[in-house]
This record gives sequence, structure tokens and C-alpha cells, in this order.
Amino acid sequence: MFKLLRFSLIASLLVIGSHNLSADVASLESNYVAGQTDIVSKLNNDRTTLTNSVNNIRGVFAGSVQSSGQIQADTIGEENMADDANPRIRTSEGASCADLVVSGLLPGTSTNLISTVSAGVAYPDGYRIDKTTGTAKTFTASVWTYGYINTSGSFEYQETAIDAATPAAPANTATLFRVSTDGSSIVSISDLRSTSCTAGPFEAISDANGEATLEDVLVNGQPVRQYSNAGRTPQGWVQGLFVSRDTASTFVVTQGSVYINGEYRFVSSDFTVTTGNDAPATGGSGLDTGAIAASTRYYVYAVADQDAVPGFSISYSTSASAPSGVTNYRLIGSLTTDASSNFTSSETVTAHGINPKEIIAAYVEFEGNASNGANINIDDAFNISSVADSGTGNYTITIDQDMNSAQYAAVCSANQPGDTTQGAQCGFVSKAAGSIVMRTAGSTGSSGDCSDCSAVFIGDTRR
Amino acid sequence: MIRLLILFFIFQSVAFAQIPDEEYLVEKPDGSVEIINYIPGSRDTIQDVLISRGMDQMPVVKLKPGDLPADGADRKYWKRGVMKVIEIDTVKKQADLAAEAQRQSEVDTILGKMCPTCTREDLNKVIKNG
Repeated sequence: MFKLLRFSLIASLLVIGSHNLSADVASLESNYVAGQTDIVSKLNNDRTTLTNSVNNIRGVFAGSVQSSGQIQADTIGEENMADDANPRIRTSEGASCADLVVSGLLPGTSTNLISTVSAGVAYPDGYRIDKTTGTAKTFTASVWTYGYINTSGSFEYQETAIDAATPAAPANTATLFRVSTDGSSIVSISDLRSTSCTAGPFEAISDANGEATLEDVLVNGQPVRQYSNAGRTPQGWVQGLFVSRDTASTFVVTQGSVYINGEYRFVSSDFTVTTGNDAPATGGSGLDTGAIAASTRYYVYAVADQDAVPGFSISYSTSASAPSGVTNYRLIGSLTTDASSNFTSSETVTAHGINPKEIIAAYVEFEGNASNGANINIDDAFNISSVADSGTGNYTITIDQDMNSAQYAAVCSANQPGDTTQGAQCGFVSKAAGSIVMRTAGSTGSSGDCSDCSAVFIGDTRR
Repeated sequence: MIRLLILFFIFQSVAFAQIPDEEYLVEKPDGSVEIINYIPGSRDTIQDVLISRGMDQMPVVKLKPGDLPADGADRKYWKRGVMKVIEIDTVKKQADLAAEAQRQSEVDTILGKMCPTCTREDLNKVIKNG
């Protein structure tokens, strides 16, 4: 009887162990020999070895203390892992963040209140959920319905009144969509899925933990000007968006990107804004209220009142602080109208940039009677291509990048050669967009060359 | 002392640095000349400058160091020369001097009739003080 039991025990242990020895390095005692005196000890050792192998217990001992159980090295290949535990699958689906939606899980519009939430994959709280088939849903009429998927793979819903505030998502869910219905049909679907782990929010993006985030970079600081012409300090990121007169009835705001009251927006083409009224909720640019008026300064704003779009619109207003009918706005400049209600360029300002009229267009400083064998020595210049000696006290200055017109300001100064008590007279004649003639004379009014001659030009120029 | 001298020469070069330019002589139809100091590297080429001045069809000569007269006292009479790039138009100068002398003589005659006993110095004071 005992021999039968012993044989059965050994056989069963071998059967159990054989299923798990293919990849294991467990070693057993040498062959059993009938009548061995230490057979019980050997059987117990083998029992322990096989048990550990079956349970994949590594059996590492630190002194006499066995470490906690862990999967033995090189016993489970990636191909053996279930998808919801496989790191390769997780990486390939971009699931480096919680609540990612990899695909699907959206309903469609319908002529009635019934729709099917499509199959798809999501990671609510990091748990991989794979819905392999669609799920039908009958939505409530005349409400907004928010849809979510939870860590158990079930859909959850919250209903609100239309245009009500967005409710907080239920715990352990990933947000999917918002369905809008009327009395009898599904009107629209808003996709609220997080489909990328690199999509922000900006507060979560930084070079290193504890350092400035992208939000910090874009929100803080003033571009170029410390004060806008409305007396306020422009705040936050802005690139482009230069304001300029285009025609009597239009002005241009150039393409660019901007931070507007918590909204980040950009456009890739210039705005041409007319004298018509704006429509900020649908992205229309124009005058905030009423009609264009004569001899009026208008303040130009970038507006981000349209939902779920990357762009912005332009509204302009007589108000320097609060355009009418607009919620999210930022002052970007101003321009004026003349007595005929036409836009002018004379007072156009970009709040965050410098207008070309506000900087020196060109200047030159030269000796008009050089004593070193040269007729003229040009000591310094900007945007000047030549100075010509056209005669005694007669200099023609050629501007390199021409002014936009001959209507620019020219200022000069000059000294008489050898006279340290009084300056020479100077003035300009024949002013053109690309050149100007500077005439100098001594204190008696007779033409005379100048020493230390200077000319500065300010006006509308483009480079 | 040597350091001071070195600093002095460096200061000189910095304080009186000029923009390198090229000089061109343009001979105008009336025989007078215009000297253009052109700044190389400008957006305008020298041809652009000549065109903007209406001088692109006039004779143009690029000047070398030393081509310009040492002083500009006779600037009014510069002309394109044969032996030199720039010469003084002595004929025109003599004619102007003769004309000026003639004019001065006429002035003296009139003033003399106005004040027969005045000296030349007295007349000059009257002229100067208006």
C-alpha cells in the first residue's frame, strides 16, 4: 500500500512539474532507487523545487529570509502577455497618460434619438478597455448628454440643459463626447476625447519637474512695448498681428498667434477687416456696434469667442477697454478715421509692436569738405546708399530703401568749416521718396560747404 | 607711456572711423561735375543711384585716391580733365573773375557818386552793414 502511495505521489509530482519545466531551470534529485534510506528527504526537496517552479517563485534567499514572490526572470515573453497588460501594446497606442482614447467610442448624428457608440479602445485611469462592438444608446430629447467610459468598460452618461456649464467627469472614467438633441433627433456630436498624450494641458508641459511650464512661458511677459496706447500693459504671448491701414474702408491685421484671456489661438493668413459689424460667436470680424464714424479713433482687438476652433477674429471699437458684445478679447492696436470716415495711416499703432514711423527711417553724418583729398567723408549712415557733392554747399543724399512717399520729415544740422562759434545754415530742397537735396550756407547766407553735416529722416518706410 | 600711446592711436581710429565708400565722377551736360560717394553693400547699386538721379546716360568715372583736388576752393570750376581726372576750368574761372571785377567796379562807381569823399574802407563798411 505504501509503495502504491509513494509511486502515486511521485507520478503526480512529475506530471505537475512536467507542464512547467520547459522553460525552468529547476533541478531535481537524481533518480530514485528503491530502498534508498533518504528517499523521504529527496522527495520533499523535489516537491519543494517543483512547487516553486510551478508558482514561478524565484526563491531568492537573503540569509535565511526568502524574498517576496516575484516572477522568475525570462519566464514570460511579451508575446505571452494579454493586451491589457502588454507594455508594447500600450506604447504603440501612445498611452503614456491616463484617460487616453485611442480610437472610436463616438456616436453619430441621427434623425431620431437613437445612435450607436462605435467600437474603440480607451485607457480610463490607465486601464486598457477594448470595446470590440458598438453600443446602442437612446438619448434624451432636448438636452446635452455627456458620454464617458469607465475602468470596467461600461459607458456612463450625464445630462445637462443645453448651454449649461460642463459637468465634472465621473470618477474613474475617460471623457468621450457631448451629444446635443432637439425634440426628436440627435443634432450634433462634440468630440471631447483626449486622443493624444502630448496634447497638453500646457500646465503639464515643462522641461523638468518644478521648472517653468509652457503655460508660464505663454502667459507672462510683455512683448516689445511696455504700455499700449490705451495705457495698459499687453500681457502674454503674441506673434504677428500687426495693424495697418489697407484702403479707405479696410484695414489689415497680419497673421500670427496670440494668447487671449486664457485662450491660445492662431491664424495663418492676414485679416482684411471692413467697416461692417462683427460676429464674434461665429468668427466674423468687424465693428463691434453701430456704424463707422468720422474723425474717430478705433481700438482693435483679437477675439476668441468662437468655440472649438484654433483661430480668432478681429473686433474694433471706440472703447479702449471693453468692446461691445465680446467676451474673450485682447487689445492689439488702434487706427483712426478722417473727416470722411475713411481709415487713415497717420495714427495706426500696433500695441505689441513698433510701427515703422516710430523709428528712424534713415540718417547720415558726413564731412562736406573733407581735407584728406576726398571730397566727402561719410562718417556714419543708416539706410543711405550715397551722398553726392553737387556743388558748393549742395549735397544730394540717396535713401537706400526708399520711403513710401515724399511725405516724410527731414531734419539737418551743419557746422561751418573752421568756425567754432556758430553753426551753418542748412535745409532741404527737392524732397523725393528716394533722395533729397541738402543745401548748406554760412552765417552770411552764402552757399558754403559744411563740416560735421547731419541729416535724419523719419516717416513711413517699409523694409 | 607706450600703453598710453597705443590707447591714443586706438582711440583715434575708433573716434574717426569712416564708412568706406567709393567715389564716382559724373560729367553733366553743362560741363560741371558731380562727385557721388557711394556706400558699397547698399540695396541700391551705383547704377540704381545714377538712374534715380537721371544720370545713367552721362559719362561716369570711378575715382581713385588722389584723383580729387586737395581742397575745394575751386569746386565751382571742376571739370573732367584730360591729364588728370579732375581739372580746373580756368577759362570759366577767369571769366567769372573778370565779371566779378566788372561788377565791383560798377558798384564802386555808384557808391562813389553817392559819397565822393568816402574812402574804400568807408564804402565797405556801408556795404557790410547794409
